[in-house]
Amino acid sequence: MDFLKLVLQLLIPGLCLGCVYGLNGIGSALLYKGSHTINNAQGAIVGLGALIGYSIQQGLKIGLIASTAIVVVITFFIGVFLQVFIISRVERRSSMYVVIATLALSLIISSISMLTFGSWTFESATIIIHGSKYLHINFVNVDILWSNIIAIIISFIAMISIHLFLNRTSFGMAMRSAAMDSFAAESCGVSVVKTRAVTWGIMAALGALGGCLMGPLFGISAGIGIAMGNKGNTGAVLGGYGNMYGAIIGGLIIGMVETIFGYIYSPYQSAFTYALFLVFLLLLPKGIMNEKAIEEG
Amino acid sequence: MKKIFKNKKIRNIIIMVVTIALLMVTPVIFTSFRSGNYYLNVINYVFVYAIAATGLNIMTGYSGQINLGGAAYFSVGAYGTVILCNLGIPTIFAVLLAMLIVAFFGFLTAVPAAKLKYHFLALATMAVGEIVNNILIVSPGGITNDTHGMFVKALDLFGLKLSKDSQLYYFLLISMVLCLLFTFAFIKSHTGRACIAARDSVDAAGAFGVDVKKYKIIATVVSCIMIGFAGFLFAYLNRYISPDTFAAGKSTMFMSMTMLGGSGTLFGPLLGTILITIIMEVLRGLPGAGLYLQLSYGLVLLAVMMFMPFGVSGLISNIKTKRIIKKKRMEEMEKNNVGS
Repeated sequence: MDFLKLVLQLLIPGLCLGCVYGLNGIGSALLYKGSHTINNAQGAIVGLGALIGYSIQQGLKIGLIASTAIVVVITFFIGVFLQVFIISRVERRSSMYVVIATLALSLIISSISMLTFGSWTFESATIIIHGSKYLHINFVNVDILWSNIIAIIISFIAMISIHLFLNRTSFGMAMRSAAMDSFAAESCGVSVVKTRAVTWGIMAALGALGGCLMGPLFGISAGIGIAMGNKGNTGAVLGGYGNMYGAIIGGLIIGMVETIFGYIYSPYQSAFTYALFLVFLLLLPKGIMNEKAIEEG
Repeated sequence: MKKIFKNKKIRNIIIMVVTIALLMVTPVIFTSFRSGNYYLNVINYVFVYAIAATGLNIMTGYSGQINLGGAAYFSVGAYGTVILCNLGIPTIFAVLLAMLIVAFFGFLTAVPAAKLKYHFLALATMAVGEIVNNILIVSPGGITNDTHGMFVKALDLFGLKLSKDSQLYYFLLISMVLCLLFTFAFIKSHTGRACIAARDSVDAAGAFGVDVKKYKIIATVVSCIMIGFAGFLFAYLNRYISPDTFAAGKSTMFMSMTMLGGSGTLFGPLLGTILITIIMEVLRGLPGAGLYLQLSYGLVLLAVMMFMPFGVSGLISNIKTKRIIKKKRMEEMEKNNVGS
């Protein structure tokens, strides 16, 4: 029974972390498919989204879910703004410049959010159901945070709705066609400028959604996003870079492995995750979904 | 007299002699007034960072590979020399050994990295930087003294102790000039030209028989050694090293120095280092200077990427070429006018 308790206590937070990494991974996969670049600023956007969510909770006195919904809309427009006014200008030169430009954006966004909100950790609102923060499972006598469970559910809803958006709507179809061959799509009347902007918007919104959902678990600070963005990338590499479904699976695996490793031996936790990233990048460049994105030639 | 100045060769020689003389007397001038020592210290840091930026430039500018983990090699060079010196090995051998370690370390990252695309190389080098920093904080056996950091003894070169800024100045100046000369020789050599060709077009270079992977690895290892050497100099200039001094911020600092000055140019990194150092010194007094510094790195990098992809030196040479074109056009117009 103790073993089952331990498994549950590791499984639920691990799954929750994995979902958030998966959400970040989806964004980078969509971006890579769409314009063959990566986004180093994702982590900073996650942190910014979480902080905006906190200030909305404080300012309007509303709960976690309502504030998260507002944040998702705001960050969507932030993403679109970044793409239209900054990235698209750099992209014209070479996708190589985008790597450094997004790194610069990451530095700017994270330092601005730290300057405005301060660098300390805030306590996020949590979800309370039946007057308790915890779901008590009598069977194994274990307490699980409601916010973890809700986070997992919301993440899965987001993933499914992204899937439906890409496959069932005409704009999603346009996005996929632009990702496949932007030149051909443009000649068929798809506005590649628009699809790229929306890609950035979706990426930023998903990242911020993850950041808000992680709030009750870690507390909210400008720094939480950096690790999350990097681990989203790790998950995306593991799943096969550029594949959305691979990114979800990879993110879930990374979340679980990290939680279990953190339980076993914590000092090297971050080095372990990055080492895992390098191993996947170098030894398994095609990932689970067999995508040929990483290697040259 | 006017004729002498018009002769380009003689003018260049005069400029060179004056520069060398100025560089030689700088410590004497600066130590003569009260706050001069501080400025001398800043200049010394400029030399050290310029070496690191020049090293990074070999990889980023001349070989077209991004490196966002420069601090990792920097810290391996610094910690390597200091730990080896503490074991009782003479400084020269300690430096050589540490450079070998850095080279091996660079080789380890270069071999698999040579086949990665640009974006993923960025992520991979960032990961290397994070891993090294984590190992410095929680080192096996505590050899790096973890978060407490290590105090460094004065630099001991063949019994010659260099502890004051004015003494270190000449050593650092000579090191930097040697590094610049080495870079110049490297880019003019067969290897360097092969690296540049591979940067400009992998396919075209391959068609001319350039082993692209091999030259990428060579460029990475050379650049890592130079960054590691800068790390060694930094340790003896700062006299204290801790994981904090080698955090990811240093990597972005080197990157912005190289990019701002102009990657792929010989004096670009030096110019960028001077400009970034000026920003750093101006911001030093502000509360929360670290954040403003981060913000300025971000703004600098973004501005470079958006408006001047070849940095300040690219901007300067751009103005020069424009002036030449204008001159030629004017001459042509005059000719046409005379003709008609």
